[in-house]
Amino acid sequence: MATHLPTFTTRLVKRLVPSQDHDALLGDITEEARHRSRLWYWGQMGAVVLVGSWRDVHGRPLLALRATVIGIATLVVMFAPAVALLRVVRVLSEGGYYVGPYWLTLPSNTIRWIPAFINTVGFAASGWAIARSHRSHGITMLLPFALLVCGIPAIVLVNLATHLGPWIFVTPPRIGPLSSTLSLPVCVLVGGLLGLSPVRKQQQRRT
Amino acid sequence: MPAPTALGTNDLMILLALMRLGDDAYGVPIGREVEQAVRRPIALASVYATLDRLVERGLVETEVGDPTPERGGRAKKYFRITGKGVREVRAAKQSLLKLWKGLPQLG
Repeated sequence: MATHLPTFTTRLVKRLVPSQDHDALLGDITEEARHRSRLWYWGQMGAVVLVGSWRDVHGRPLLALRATVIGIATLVVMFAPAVALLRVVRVLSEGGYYVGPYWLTLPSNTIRWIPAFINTVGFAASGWAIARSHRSHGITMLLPFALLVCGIPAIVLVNLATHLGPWIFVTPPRIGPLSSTLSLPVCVLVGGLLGLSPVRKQQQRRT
Repeated sequence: MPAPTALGTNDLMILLALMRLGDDAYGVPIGREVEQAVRRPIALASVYATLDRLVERGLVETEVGDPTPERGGRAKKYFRITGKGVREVRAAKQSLLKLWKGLPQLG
């Protein structure tokens, strides 16, 4: 395996899980990676992030709980105005509304993609808020909330299975809600990574 | 729920690997020893998690070596089993042997 690969990924791991001392472990992985495949290397790096995150969360359960509460609170704050916005969009896309001499309307398919947009922004914002409020812990405090969000696709899947039986996997029109909810944990993680990025600039300014 | 002093399977395997390796026990050879024993790939991160737990319990002690270029300039961390660790391993062996006796299907 190429020896230049580890430099970037070891930096990434230190960014994602900064609260743990990984120096000896990363040295071991770098040394052993010369005799192993890339798959092994990436698997080991993934394990460093997961095990490190678990240890961080396990060692600070109250902080993890606080992070999860911040995530839920952000969702509530984001979705409260979103419900009002959805009502307006529904009225406008299902006909429209006169405001003085003007006829305000939206394309009829707007109501289909607006919820997905609101979900994406809302869940990304919750990930961002958690990462920003726990910057010294990287993404570790994000994981309990991301796991909680993973429960949403599970609920949707159970709900679909209850109504449709095994046919849920061969009825494409009904899979829409499932695929959109499957993307929610990804939105949380992407929001978290965006929340981490300004730290680097601040650290550079300090140094 | 096991008592906090009880050794788990992972703890026992790591401690036995440390005893087999002697003074050359750091992450890579420890990982290889355990991999050979369990016959499947293992995550070095989980090996370190177990080792750190054993260090906290006073069963293992650590020593930092010199940094080397093939490790990206990072130092090795050597692990050594303590006297308390050896006693725990002996006690675990005794307990397992006691349970093992009188089981012809495992003979």
